[in-house]
Amino acid sequence: MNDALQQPGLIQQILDVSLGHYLVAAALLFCIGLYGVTTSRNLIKVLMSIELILNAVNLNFVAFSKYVTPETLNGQVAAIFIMTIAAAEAGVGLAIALSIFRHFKTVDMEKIHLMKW
Amino acid sequence: MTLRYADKLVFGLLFFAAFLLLISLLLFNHGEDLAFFILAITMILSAVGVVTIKEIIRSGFLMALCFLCLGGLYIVLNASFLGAAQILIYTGAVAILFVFGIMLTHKGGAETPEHSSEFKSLSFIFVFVGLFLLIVRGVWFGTWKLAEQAASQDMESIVVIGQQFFSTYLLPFEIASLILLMALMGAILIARKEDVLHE
Repeated sequence: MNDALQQPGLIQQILDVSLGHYLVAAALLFCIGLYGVTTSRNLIKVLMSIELILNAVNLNFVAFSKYVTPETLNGQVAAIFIMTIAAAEAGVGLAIALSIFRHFKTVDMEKIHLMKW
Repeated sequence: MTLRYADKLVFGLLFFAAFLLLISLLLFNHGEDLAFFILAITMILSAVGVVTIKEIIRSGFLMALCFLCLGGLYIVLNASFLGAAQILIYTGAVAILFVFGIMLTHKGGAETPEHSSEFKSLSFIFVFVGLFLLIVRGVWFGTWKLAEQAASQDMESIVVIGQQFFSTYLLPFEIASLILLMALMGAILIARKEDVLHE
């Protein structure tokens, strides 16, 4: 904790945007998405929360790409791959949701228990 | 004026503000701290709206706003190509895809009952008091091996990304195109009506 005392005050530390700010914002977004996944019973809302989680990871990658590898931009390349996978996942996930809705006439996760024993 | 119009107005203003913010970020590359705080706070608030608002169509549009702010954050982070791709792909395609999905599934299951409040508060404690504080403890007080110097402002990120794609990441790049094709065909095959197959 001595290091923290020697650095400029806590308020100044919070106001100067650094890598930690982006990581904390991404962590908050990730946790909101995780909370949505666990508490929602609506299939489409769960898919939306998964998109939020993927975007939080993307924000981490881009922040690291600026602050850690600014010359090679590995983080941005990884973020583009994640974006591709997320778009594919959204398309297939919504197709499955539509198919389930057509079969069960509901999107309530608790009522879709075909594979539950 | 009913409440319905009021919140349409609010949503319109939100989108308008986000667009103004993005344009001003593009034109004036100053005030990165201020831009970060405005964009991050808007992003977090709209993400909270996505998971808490009961009417799911509104959470769909709030998700678009969240992605728009995230695109702004990418631009603040000198990733202008990724910011543009974020706005095109997420705000333009994925969010609208979700809105279509909501409309095709009978109001998106608006009458779906929710979990009990005990379960919700338990999940809240686990996620925010447990996981979030753990992550913050790690990222805020941890020491990162940062680069010596920040990238020059006028470095063209898209050139570097293109070179990376066709040298180091050539194989993942090709596989990604294959995955997109597979996802396209799979989505069509899964979502079509089943009796069409048997005719």
